[in-house]
Amino acid sequence: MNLEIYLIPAIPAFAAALLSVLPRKTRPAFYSLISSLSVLSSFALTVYFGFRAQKLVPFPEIASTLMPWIETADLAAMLAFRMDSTAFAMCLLVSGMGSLIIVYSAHYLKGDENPGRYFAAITLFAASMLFLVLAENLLLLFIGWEGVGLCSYLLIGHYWKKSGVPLAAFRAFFVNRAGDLFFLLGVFTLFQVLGTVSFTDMPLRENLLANPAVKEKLSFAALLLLGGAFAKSAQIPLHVWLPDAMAGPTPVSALIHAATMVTAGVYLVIRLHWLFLLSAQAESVLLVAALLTFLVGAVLACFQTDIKKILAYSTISNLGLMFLALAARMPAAAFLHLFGHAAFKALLFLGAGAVIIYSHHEQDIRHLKGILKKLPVTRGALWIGAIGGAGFIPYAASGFFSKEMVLHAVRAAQFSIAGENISGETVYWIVYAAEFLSIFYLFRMLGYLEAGRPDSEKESKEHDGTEIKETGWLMPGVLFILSIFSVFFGIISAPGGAGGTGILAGIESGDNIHSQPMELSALIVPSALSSIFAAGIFLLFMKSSSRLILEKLLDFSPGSRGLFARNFYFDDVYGFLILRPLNAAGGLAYRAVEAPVFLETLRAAGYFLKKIGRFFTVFQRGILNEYAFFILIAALLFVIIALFT
Amino acid sequence: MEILALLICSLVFLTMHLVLVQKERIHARLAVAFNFLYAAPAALFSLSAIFFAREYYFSFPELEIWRGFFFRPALYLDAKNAPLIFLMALVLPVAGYWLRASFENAAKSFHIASQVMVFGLTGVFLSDSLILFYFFWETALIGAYFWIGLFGKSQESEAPSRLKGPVGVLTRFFLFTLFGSFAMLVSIAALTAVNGNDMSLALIPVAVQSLSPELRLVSFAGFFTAFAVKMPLFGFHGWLRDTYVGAPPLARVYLSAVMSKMGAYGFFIIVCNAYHSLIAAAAPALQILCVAGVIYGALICLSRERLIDVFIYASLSHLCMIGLGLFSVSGPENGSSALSGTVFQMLNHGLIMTALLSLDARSSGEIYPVRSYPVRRRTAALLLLSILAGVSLPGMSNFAGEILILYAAFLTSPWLAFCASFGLLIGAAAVFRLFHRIFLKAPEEQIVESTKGDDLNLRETALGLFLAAVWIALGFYPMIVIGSIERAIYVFRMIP
Repeated sequence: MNLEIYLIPAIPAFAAALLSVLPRKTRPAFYSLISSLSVLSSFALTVYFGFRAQKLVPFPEIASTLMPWIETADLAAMLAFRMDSTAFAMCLLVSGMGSLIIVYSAHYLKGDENPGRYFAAITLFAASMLFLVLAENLLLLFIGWEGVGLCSYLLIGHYWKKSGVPLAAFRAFFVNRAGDLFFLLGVFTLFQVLGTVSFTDMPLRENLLANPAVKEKLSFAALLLLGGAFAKSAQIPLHVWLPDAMAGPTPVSALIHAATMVTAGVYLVIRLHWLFLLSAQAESVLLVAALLTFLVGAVLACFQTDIKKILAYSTISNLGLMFLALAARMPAAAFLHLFGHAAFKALLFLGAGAVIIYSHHEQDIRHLKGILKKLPVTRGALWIGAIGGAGFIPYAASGFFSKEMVLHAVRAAQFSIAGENISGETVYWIVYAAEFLSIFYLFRMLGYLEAGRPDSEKESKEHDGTEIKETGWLMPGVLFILSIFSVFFGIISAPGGAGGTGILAGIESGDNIHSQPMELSALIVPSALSSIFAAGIFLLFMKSSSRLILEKLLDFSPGSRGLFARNFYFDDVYGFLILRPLNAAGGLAYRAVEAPVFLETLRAAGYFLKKIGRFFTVFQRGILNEYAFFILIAALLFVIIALFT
Repeated sequence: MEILALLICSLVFLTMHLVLVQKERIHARLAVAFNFLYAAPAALFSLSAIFFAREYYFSFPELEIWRGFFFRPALYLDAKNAPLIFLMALVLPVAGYWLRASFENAAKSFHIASQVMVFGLTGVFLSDSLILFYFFWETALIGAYFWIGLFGKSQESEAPSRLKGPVGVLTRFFLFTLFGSFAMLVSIAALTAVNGNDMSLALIPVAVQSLSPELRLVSFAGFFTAFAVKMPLFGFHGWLRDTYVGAPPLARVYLSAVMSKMGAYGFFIIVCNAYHSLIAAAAPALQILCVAGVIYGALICLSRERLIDVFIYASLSHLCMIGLGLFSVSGPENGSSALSGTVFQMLNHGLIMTALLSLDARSSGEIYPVRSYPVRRRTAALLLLSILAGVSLPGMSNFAGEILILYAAFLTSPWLAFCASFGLLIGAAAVFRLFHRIFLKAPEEQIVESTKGDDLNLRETALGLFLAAVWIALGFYPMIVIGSIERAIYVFRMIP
């Protein structure tokens, strides 16, 4: 039965329930202890399953069915879990990264007025994601899918007293729910066609594919499911919530970006890759959205001055890259980059969080000049993270081989949009060129943080005399572990030909076909080119004179005031096309229909009935003579009727 | 026999109120205790009907009331109506306890009216006789009539109203429902006339079969009007807002959580069962009506500024969803899962409205005099939890019912499902927006001084958490209810 598998999400879920009802006087350390221990035990359980499986490629599947969840004549879904290699790797990532981030939060949240809510939500976040990853069918996956949406809402809104924060949380929740509307319709379509939404059984119904009508419906279902995946994974046009989500505490951003929420969409498409292969439309939508997301994210990241916003747009860009690999029919590459990205993005966010905390909540890189000189561990972490994110040094950069895999896949692929063929080569060069943008924004950030000498006296005066330095051991410790992991990942992600084993790429595909050997020698020139570029950007932003010129250039570049500052007008378009018409319709429905027709008419009806009643009181005035008169008339009427009928 | 005991339970307490309690005014605690005494057997019998598929049946001696016309009163309890009895078992004590301050030292008539209503509601759900059904239906209405009429508060309506005060509210509510009741009376008269006698619910389809086509249509229209007004469905909801706002808080909860289910239950047990050919013929129009209601309710939510208004119209939306489930039936054989989902949804809607309306009454200053919403952690947290349950978060019970309904609509037409879920999305956004506006204000915008009863105390919170636990348990294992409902419906439809 493998009932232990249910414990993986159940332990954090129960811990979350416990944390949310603990009395308010509980010590903050206790919250973080329970929270991190519960997620850590999920990690231990996952590792236990790994040991039990003995070999990772191909991973022996572990499946367990607990009971029917919804089982009626029409719709049926089991409460069942399945752990295959993909789910196993995701579980490791979510629980491992999750517990590290929770430990980090223990320090980050020091002095917070409501740590209970935070730790309950973040534990539930991990639980939901683990549930999502392990769910055996699409409908069950939806529980985790909405669960992460809910937890992101709670966590992004953690500082709800600050203005704008509730709105950011609201947007994250409802953009996702809008995507989920399509997701659910996609699930319905799949169920209608295939009669099941189980991940195991669905691909087995391929005998139905001979029918072109079925194929068309499946293709439509793939498109609908993409709606959900785009919202979760912040793909254009549903990416608007992600930059706003920076309103939450920084560890939450790290968790959302590295391990939990945004990877869910990628995971879904990987899981249902057979379905997307059937749908040419879905693939072209995937390609267009992914390419746009990749470019828009990278461009916008270059114009941000808020350290968290830079990283947020960088995530959007990287997610675009993952979807690009999926559009190139190479889920293994997408999966590998998911991990590579997780490794460096968690590091970057937690490093940024350390900078923010130690600098007393300053997020603007222009005011954080030279701060890294006082924070040695954070400095190392941010450097490793930035190199990993820019991905130009083989083995040292966690994103190097994963990015190369994606580029490789894109180059080899043949795309088509609406029947028009586009060669992979074209897309490859676009992506390759845009990769320099990611080097630009990351090393621009580093350049600022390293530049010059911080005006320590002035700084310390501003912040009640406390000096900027790394305190405590939790945050530096977590950063240290993650740095090691990041480098380690850079090494093990190497594919067959480059001295590595290709094991990670193999985990997803279950074989080694996709991890083709890569010619390392061919990578030396682009790598060297990128390194020179990175060094150049870094040095230019270090020097105050050249930095000023570059900032002026950025400032006066076309679109920097309008297009880029307004994030390509997505918010405005949504406001104009959806929100304002809806609000207007709401007001109109009340004023034109509800009030006059339903409320007032009835009120008037009551009024008229009362009037009619008043009229009849004329006959009941209590005057005896009148009564006698009416009786006489009535008697006469009866007589007349009796006579004439 | 047990089932009779259950019915009598509600009556016994009524007589206790009348006879034993000699005081003019009754302590709220005593009334809440009565509620718990009612809830215990109700929960016991309904749960055993759901979990162990027990079927209770009790028939009174037949009674000849007109030359050869027999009145055949009988009561039943199985998985079809057990969810509704279970709903009452939860709603009465929970709402009573949460809102006890609103009827602290209320006059005796307050409790008598409420008990009459409870008696009527219990009877409606339990009765297995058409005439008995009507009798209890009217009893419940009479209880509600006096309750709202005597203890309702006057209307502070934005639109200038010519008829103010509780009497105005009452007139509207009563006219509307009376109109529906008379329509139903005509239908019942037609059915009993053709049958010659009173009949059990399972035999209504037979009687309907022997009606002439015109009369069938007329009787269908009669039932439809009565139930649609009571629920209410979109277009029949004119009485809804004013009545809810004008009613005392506890009455409002009973009306929304339980009394609206009278209409839904009537649709389910009489209309969908006996008139399925007519329903199937009218299904497209009815489904569109319901989906329009879902979207309409959500749009009105967007324009309202008070939580209670938003809850009322969101409730209209969800009742229209229940309607959509009821009418997504193309025949007796493949409509059952939508129907079982719908009955399940009645339970969920009742529980969620109980939480929403009670907590709103607690927090909006309706019971305790406060000028604004101060920071109230527990109330806000529980309200958020209830809202989440209401917007059918997967893993909570509402979701299981809702996807069954949506899927049934989807099978008819994907557009129906799309429009319905779009409407629900707007409604959810509106509720959240207002929740944010009211509860998530910076502290300086709030009046922080707290008075007694401002926030929920520990016991009240525990009660709320218990409700939440029910939602989550039913969310992960809805089959425990849906499965038995589905079996009961299957058997029920086999009888004729």
